Amino acid sequence: MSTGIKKTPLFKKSLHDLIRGIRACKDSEATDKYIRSAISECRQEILSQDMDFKTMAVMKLAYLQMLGHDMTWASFNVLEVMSSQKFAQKRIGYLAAMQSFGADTDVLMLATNMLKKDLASSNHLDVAMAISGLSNIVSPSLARDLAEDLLKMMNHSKPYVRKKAVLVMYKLFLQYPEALRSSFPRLREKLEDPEVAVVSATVNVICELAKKHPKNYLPLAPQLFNILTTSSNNWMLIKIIKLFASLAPIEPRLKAKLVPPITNIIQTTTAMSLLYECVNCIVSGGMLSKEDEQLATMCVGKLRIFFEETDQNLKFVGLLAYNKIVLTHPLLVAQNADVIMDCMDDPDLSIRERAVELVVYLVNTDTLFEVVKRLMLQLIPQTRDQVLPEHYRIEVVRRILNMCSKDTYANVTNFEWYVAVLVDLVKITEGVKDVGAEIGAELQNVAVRVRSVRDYAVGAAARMVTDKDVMIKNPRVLKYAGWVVGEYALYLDNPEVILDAMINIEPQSLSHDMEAVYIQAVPKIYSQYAGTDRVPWTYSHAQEILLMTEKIVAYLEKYATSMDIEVQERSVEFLELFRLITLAIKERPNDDMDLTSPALISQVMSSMFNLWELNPVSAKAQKRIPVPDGLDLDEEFNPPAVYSESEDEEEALLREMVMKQQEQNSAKNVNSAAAASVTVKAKSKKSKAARDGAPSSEEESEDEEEIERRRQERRRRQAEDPYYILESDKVVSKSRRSRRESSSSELSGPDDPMKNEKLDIDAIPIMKLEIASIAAPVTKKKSKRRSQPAHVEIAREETFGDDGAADGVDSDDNMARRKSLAARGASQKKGILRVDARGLENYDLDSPDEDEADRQEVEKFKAEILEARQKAAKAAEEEVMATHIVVKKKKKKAKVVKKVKKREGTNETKPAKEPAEKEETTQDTEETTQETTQETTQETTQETTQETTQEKTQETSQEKADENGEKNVEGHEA
Amino acid sequence: MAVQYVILLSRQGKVRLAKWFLTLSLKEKSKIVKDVSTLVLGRRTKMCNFLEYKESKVVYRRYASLFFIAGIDSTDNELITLEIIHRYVEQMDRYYGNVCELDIIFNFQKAYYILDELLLAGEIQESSKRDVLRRISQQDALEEAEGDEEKFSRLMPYISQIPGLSSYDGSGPLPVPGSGSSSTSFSSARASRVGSGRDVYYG
Repeated sequence: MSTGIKKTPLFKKSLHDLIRGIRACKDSEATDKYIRSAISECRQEILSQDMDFKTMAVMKLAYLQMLGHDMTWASFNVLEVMSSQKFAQKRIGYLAAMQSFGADTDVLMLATNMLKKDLASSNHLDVAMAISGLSNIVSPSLARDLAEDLLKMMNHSKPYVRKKAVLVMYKLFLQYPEALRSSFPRLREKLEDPEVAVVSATVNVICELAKKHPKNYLPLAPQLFNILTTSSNNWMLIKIIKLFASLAPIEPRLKAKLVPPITNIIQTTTAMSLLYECVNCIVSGGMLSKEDEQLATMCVGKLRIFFEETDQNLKFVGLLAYNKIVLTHPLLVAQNADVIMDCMDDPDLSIRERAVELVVYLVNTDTLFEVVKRLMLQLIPQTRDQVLPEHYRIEVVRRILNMCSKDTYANVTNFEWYVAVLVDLVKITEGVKDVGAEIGAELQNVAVRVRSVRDYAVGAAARMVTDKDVMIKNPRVLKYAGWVVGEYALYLDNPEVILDAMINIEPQSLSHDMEAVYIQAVPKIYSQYAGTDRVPWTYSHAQEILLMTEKIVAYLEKYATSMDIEVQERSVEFLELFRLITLAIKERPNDDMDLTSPALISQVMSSMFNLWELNPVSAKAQKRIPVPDGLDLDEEFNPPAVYSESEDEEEALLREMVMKQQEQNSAKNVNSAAAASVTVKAKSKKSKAARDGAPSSEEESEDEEEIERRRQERRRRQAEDPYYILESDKVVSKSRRSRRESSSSELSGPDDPMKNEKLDIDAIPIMKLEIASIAAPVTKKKSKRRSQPAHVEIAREETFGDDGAADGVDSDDNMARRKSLAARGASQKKGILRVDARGLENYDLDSPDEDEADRQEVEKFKAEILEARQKAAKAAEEEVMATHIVVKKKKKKAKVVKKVKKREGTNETKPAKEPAEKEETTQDTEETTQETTQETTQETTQETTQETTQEKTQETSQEKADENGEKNVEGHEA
Repeated sequence: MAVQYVILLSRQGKVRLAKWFLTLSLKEKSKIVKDVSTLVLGRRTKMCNFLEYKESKVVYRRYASLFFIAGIDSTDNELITLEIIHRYVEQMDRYYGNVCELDIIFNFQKAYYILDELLLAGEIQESSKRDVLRRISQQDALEEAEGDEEKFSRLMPYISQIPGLSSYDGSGPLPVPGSGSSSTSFSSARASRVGSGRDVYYG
């Protein structure tokens, strides 16, 4: 402000004084105080009649607003200043409005006329200012009211106004999509505007619009193409290329047309931003399919220039572009692995992250060692102050795990090395949140899948469990390490050491889920320690075992009262078992003559854990288990009692709740049954086999009755079968017992449930198939020679049913669901920086003007309502005249009663007042009111009509909402 | 949406300008300013000028003691955004004449006006460097003309009483007839308009 306003001594503070004052404040407290007093001064000044005072106050507030102080209370005064006659004041008013007005500013509705006036001003500077202001403060109602005015401005004589008007249209469309229809032809004209700035503005707007709903703008392609080939304005070219990137995916023919000019630009331009945009367009416009080797080679080659410069920015965007191209052409990108690898150690973390992201795609068996080594070195802090930020360290750990486990460990040739890497990772990621669990999961995965290194992995896990450092620094990994040592206790050299370590942990040092795993692992290790005959059962050995057992009892007792239900349940169950074991050991004779270990330990315990081996199971397998015949998921277990007619709302609510619960219960039941049992699986397969009419040779002899009998029998058995509950089900979500070569079972007798079941299962052809296909890799002996690391056997995930076909369908389904979920999520919980453009996304220019139709419909209804009202009024009048009695009617029910009575022939007009009668007629009210409007005879009262019309309008709005909903869906699909 | 916001930040983390092309509440704005400030101030030289923030990107560049920060959509072109920032700095440099942080602090509204001519609704509005400044000087001239009119109308009673000071406007040094104020370099554009105004009062 170089006008005289600020220098007039009448102000307490000019803007300069204010700014100086703030700068003079020593600390934040003084500043706050100063600003508070300044604001209260402004509150006074802003009420002044003198526009100069007012303007200065608004200006000061705008300055303070920038520093984060609220000025919404002054909105009205801002509006006053905006409507000033003086340009200088107006300018400040608009500035303050742009800074402070929001969607919830209520004075905006007062601004319409003022904006209209400014838009119509003869001074183009006023017009331009109004447009600029509008771009920030436009609301749906302003957009609706000013759309026409702005449309005119698009044809203003001055290009300065035209370009602004064009640009503001986008903001207008966001608020009021309907304006798009009326202004689209003019927008199109503006592509031919003689002034390049206007054309550029139009391209900008169309580019943004096309991002939301590209289909509308395909007809513009020829004009746009013309601009692309003739213009030399890089700003506009970038936008137009971006615009084509939105159009190309929905019109594949564009590709052939676009590739030559874009190639031309790529090869000739010196502007990196344009070059980058072209490459981006080719990638995101879907022009890079697998066959387009040449195009891809050119893009990848051009991008290499970005890395040869010293400019970090170019490196960064180059990596971004490579990250996109690598999805279709990994080999081409891999040719530039050298420059990408260099970026892995760049001082700039953003660049490093992108490079690491990219490297995951580029590693192969030869480079994996080197890459992992480099990344691991980054995790080790050289000096104390060089520690990398946590999010980056997490990122690096995840990428390491990612690149190693990619394609079921396709790149890992030496799993001992991998286990060593995992162990090192645990050590160097101390204090990094959550990655412990991820590393642990990998260790578990390797232990389960790669038999050849299982002993090695178990050894590593055992070291973690016994290491106090791990407990302190990276406890999450112990959940998995604990599981591994338990499940593969067979490989432990000193089970008693591990047992000691596990039962001697400090209470509360582990989280509940980890405690649960530990409690499960302890009996497994115990059965290995005490149940095997590696040490002959002597008196002294028995005493050792007894001591250990008592320790375990003490350990379990600690958790028997845990707040966590899982921990509590597991510990209580095992507690009983171990108490029995203690008794069994004590009952043994106390000498060394002819001693065998108690059957409880040697047989029962080992059969609990060692019967089958766990194999990895595909996460999708469970979903593919068909629902068995006779299991109706919708059937209620406990059908609700028949309720009397007079049930009130509360009862209905209650019933609904009960039903919901039942549904949940039944679902849960099915779930657990499916998850836990081989039997259900078998059953289901059987039923499937039966359905398919493809009985096996064995099954042919079985008739339905036999099957049914067996089913019953099995169900009975399952009720008592201790093996039926899968204990480690929670921990080993991915794994399930399915290997059926249970040679170790010593309990097998004639009526052994296991054996019987096994027979049952084997009788089913599909199950046989599965065993054949899965058992094949697993049954191979673990005597894999380590000298041939390239052929390490990695157990595949077990799955069920036709893998390929089901997979396809499944993933498609999932994708669709995820997409719709994502869409819904986006609309529900949008980020604050995301512009809400839902209106535009669904706005189709080709669709008929539904709005018009809606409006007509509403008009029609309005007319009908009016008619009905008039009739009703007339009828009421007549009625009164006829009876000469003024009837007070408070409830329409009463009237209906009256009307019903009339229809019956009673000519009395006496209103029914008995409550009993009211009750009776209530149920009929709904129907009768409908009739009332149609007949609209003398009896109908105004009230009734209103009621009905209300209903009608509600219906209409409902219909409209439905239509909108459909439109939305269409939009999304499109 | 091309540019979502432009923030000018001093090295000490003080906001010198904050222009929003989205309508957000004060609270949301403050949060973004705070987050982005921490991100940007934490960067060292030799790092690239792009950052990721939530689902958007932040492009920044440091000029002397000021960080110029622009928030863009994740699909937007980072390199061209840097160009926009640079263009803005160039424009201010020309307007203020070798711009420094203090110029922007004490004439913050001018910085907004320039930005309003460069960008509208977050889109680049004018790629011609000359045109942007021409518009600003037109507006300034209009303002000056009004201001002069007003000043003189206010002072008229006093001026008429003090012979010999008839052309003093009460603020600056004694004016030399025919020369414009030396605070900006757009005297030529303004002189023509203001001159005509003077003719009316001092003729």
